[in-house]
Amino acid sequence: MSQKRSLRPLEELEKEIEQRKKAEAEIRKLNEELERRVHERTAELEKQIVERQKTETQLRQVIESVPNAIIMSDENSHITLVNSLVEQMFGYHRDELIGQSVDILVPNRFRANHPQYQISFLHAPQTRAMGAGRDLYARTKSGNEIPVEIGLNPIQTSQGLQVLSAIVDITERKKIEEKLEAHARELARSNEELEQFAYVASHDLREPLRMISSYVQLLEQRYHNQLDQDAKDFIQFAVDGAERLQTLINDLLSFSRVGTRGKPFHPTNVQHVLDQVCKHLKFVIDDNKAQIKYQNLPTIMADETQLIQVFQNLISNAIKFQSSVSPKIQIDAQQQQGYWQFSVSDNGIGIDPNFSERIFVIFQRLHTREEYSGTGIGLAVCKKIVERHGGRIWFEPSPPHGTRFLFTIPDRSVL
Amino acid sequence: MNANTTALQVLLVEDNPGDVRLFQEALKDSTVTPHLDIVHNGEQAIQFLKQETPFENKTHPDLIILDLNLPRKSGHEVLEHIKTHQHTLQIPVIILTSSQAPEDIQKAYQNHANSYMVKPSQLNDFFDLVNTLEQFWLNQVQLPTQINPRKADEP
Repeated sequence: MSQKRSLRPLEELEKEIEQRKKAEAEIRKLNEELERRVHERTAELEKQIVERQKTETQLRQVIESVPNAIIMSDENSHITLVNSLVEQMFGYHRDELIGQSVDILVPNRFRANHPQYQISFLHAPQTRAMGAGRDLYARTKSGNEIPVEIGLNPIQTSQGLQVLSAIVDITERKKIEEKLEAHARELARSNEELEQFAYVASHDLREPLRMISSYVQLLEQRYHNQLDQDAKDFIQFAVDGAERLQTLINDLLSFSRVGTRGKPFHPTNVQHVLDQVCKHLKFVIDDNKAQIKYQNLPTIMADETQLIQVFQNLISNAIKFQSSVSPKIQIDAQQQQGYWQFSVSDNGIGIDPNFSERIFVIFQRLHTREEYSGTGIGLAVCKKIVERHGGRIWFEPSPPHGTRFLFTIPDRSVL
Repeated sequence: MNANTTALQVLLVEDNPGDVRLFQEALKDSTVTPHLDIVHNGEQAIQFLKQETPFENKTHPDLIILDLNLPRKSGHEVLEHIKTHQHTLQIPVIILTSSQAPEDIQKAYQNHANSYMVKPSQLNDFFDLVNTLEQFWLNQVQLPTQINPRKADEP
């Protein structure tokens, strides 16, 4: 054995060296590989850290730049995070807020009730608007109060339940709302005042007018024999004028009553309304041999008395302004999207479309008193009634020569 | 039928002199001329009925014609006073007004007005109205103030 060993020591040595070298190379290779991997991994981690920092910065930026003030608070209502808008809105630096109770931002007069709301929120934490039905105010560092809207979001974190509050300053919106409200109130008031004025005026105007016409008539009666024809003519003009003024005042009164004496809307059978109108106008219809056609008219929500007034005015106009042939009047109803459209068509003398706006204005007349009687109140009343019901009224030619009046009434049955 | 009795007393509560005169003119044509007392506001009307100064010599009227739109105390207040006081509630009260307001009419009757009339705008209608008033209330109707106790005692 020893002989064998001694036989080839060099050879063996060389072989071993060879092997060691090989092993060493392999270890080196492994080492290098390991080092490369560590490098890679480190780079990867570094990249991840950068990414994460980037995300965090982004998140931070998002929180900073949302148009709401954002406050995070813990279960004890201590502030844990605020964004820059909080600083702007409340005038505090964030260092002055972190760790403080949120009560620092609640006006004194609301502080007493605040804890009970906080407790009730923490008992049933869910995303909701704060203070439903209450006007909310926040207190700034300088002690000013600002109207706010607050959204509450519960967030479970490793440090327990946190509440994210998003706060919007609604000072501007409040101002606009208040302005709008004031406008609406003012409009309603001036409207009411105007109606009241028309009512009182027409009522009080009657008294002196009655005096004028009564005493002029008394003059005429008592001194009949002492007056010449001129004097009698003059007195007649005065009496006529007073009478006309009386009619105008009565019309003004009925016009103002559309608003002041209107009744609530009830289901109203329009077929029945037309029956009534024809009954009221029986003599006029018979005298003029007028034909009135209507069928299958709907039931709508309306003030029945006023609806009768509308149809009565339109139909008596259609008869009054008849052409050389006897009046034929047709009433139709069409159901449209959300409203009913009614039409009253005649074969009368027609209306110049240039007067489309004017005819609905109170006391506007297109004809002299000698041609057609009336004060020009009918269509003004129609317009006012239709508008009170939320509809509109207009007219168009009804071939060949007549007129078709159309008006709409909202279909309230679907509500 | 009142030929041999003293003239009936009518109290007219009216603030408008034009209306007062018109009423007087209308009465000129009448067959029985009642004695007309005139007061110009609601307060005076109540003083008259209470016989307070300067009305201490006045007796209760047989009939009251009452306007609604009056200064100081409205016709409604006067009516309520009349109909809630034992010594005046039996006196017939005729409302004569220019108001056609449904609420005025209703309120007047709820306060026991004996009738409600609207002043007509035409002279002849006004004269007719006064004439009718007179015919009915002063001629055809038996008024509580006309009850003759001696007559009632007769067998």
